[in-house]
Amino acid sequence: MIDKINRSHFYNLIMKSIKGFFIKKYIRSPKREWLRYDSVFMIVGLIISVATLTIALAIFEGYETVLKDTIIGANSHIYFFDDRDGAMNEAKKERAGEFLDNKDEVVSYAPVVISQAMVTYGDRLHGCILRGIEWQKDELPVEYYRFISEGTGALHNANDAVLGFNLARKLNASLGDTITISTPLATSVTPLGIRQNNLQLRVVGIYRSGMHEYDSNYLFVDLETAQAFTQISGYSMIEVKLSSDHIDRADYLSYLWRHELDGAYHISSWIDFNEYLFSLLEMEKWVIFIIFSFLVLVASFNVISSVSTSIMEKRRDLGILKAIGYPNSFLKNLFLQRSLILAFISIVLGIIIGMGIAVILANQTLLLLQGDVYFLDSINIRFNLFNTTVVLAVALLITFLTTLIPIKSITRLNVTEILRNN
Amino acid sequence: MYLLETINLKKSYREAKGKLEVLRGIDLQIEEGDIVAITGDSGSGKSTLLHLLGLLDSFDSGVIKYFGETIDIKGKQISEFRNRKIGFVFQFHYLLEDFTAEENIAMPALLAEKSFKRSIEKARDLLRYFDLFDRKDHYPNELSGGEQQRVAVARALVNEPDIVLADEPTGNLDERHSEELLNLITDLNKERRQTFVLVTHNKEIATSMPTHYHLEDGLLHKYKE
Repeated sequence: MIDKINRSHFYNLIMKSIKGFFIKKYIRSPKREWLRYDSVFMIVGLIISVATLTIALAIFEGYETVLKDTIIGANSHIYFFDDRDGAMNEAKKERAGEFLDNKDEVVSYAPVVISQAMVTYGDRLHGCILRGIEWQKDELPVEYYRFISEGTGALHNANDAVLGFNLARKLNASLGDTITISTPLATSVTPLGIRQNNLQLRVVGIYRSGMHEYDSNYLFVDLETAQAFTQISGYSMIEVKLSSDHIDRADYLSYLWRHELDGAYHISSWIDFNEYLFSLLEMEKWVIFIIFSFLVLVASFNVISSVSTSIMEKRRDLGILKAIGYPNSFLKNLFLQRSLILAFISIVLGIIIGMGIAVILANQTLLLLQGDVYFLDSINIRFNLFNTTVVLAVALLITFLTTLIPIKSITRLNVTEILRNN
Repeated sequence: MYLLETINLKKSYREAKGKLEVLRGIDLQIEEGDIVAITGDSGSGKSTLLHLLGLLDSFDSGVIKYFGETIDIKGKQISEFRNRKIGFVFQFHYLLEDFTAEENIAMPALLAEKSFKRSIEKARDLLRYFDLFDRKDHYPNELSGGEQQRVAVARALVNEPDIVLADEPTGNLDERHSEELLNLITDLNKERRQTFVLVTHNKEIATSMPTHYHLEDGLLHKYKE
């Protein structure tokens, strides 16, 4: 055996620990003890529960991250409204512009006109949110060009329009089609009767952000076209994009600027509109984690059964080892470490299998989310080191605690009784 | 000074019918380098006495002294004491099935030496002495009954204990292997002054040993021819 030990430095390192030697011998016993059914139940139980937990966390993390990315991307981060709840005039827009030009946190800003309208194509009719934007700007405060999935985002002609992906599908409209928008707000009375304000637009691009709500409602046109159509003399609001370091403190900045501008504007942030959603998601993620941790707890009952069976089977060995002087603490440690090694391997396998299944789920098209309920219609996953570490630590802790229960019996084993009865 | 001494050692078991007094006051003195045989009928308490001498079990009253020092059976260091000072040989060899012959022999030394290499070297020396070196990598079930028992004796000797306690060491062996084992024990006694306590029901074996006690009615009597 010494010849064998000298052959391998790695083997030498393992052999330095007597416990390691025992555990190795027991795990690699010619009887393949760890392949017994109770050990298999323990391993499979841990793998399934940890895989489930990993999948659940990956989906929740992915959902939260993608939703946040999309909301932050498709929207600007701070909104300047007129303090009188009406349209913002040119002078106020200029003043806000001067203020924002001096702010380091600001990446870009632009005025926008927003109004509700009806859109028709052929015999189909749908409500929409009309967004008049300064599409010529190099950097818009919202991710607009990134989400153009077909055609172009450039609105060179006054009647060019970009249609949300789901809205286009509902209308059965595609690139090059002419759609009509109308609004009852801007009707006028003429000698010939009431004239409905209609505008014919040509679809030049399709917008697809992944957010069901936006893709089902948005219709983008040039800012001036929107102003003329809605008869808004001014702007609905100014949208502000912050640099990435400041996105998460948008609510604080909006509060600060409101005071710096002496309340001349009503200023809100993306956090004000979505705070509860993200708090809820964060809470739900941990609720799911706790619930699925119970799966690991249930699986760890197999650990109790496996370790108990193992102690029963090794009763004779334990009696002999006790007789030749091995203390209870050594023997208990032996079973604890053996159990933790098997659990560690099972948990790591569970995490790997869970990640694999999560990747498959994210790439399949059979099971999709209901976009109108969950905002997003695809399953997104994200893995992060923190979640993986928490899963590993919690599963190991549960295994550790459940192993402590059966190994107590080692202390109670009566050596003389074992020697007599065997 | 005696290597091992017991004074008025008593041991009883609680049973459904009441208290069963197995040892009713054992006075025993064992000198270094002696071979002490203890005989007695089945159920007379021979094994119980051996377990008490080996500090494996607690007793009701009395004293056990090693080299004049009273031993506290409930002491924290009792496992370590047993490991260093006492060797055990049991009737059914009691080797660990998952370990090879040399690993089984090295087992007590792993604790004492805290070195895998030194423990295995000591085990190999004993394997050579017992003419079992070519069987070093064999598992217990690959060894004959005689070889198993020799490995068990080697395991008992690996930490060079003060005393080896053997419970019916030949009980499971045929005549030839029994004789071989007894010769080995007497050789070890002569060559290394190894002290042995043999519990046996075989009077012939017992009478061939330098000291012979007989256990009857819970009391020990020195046997006189």
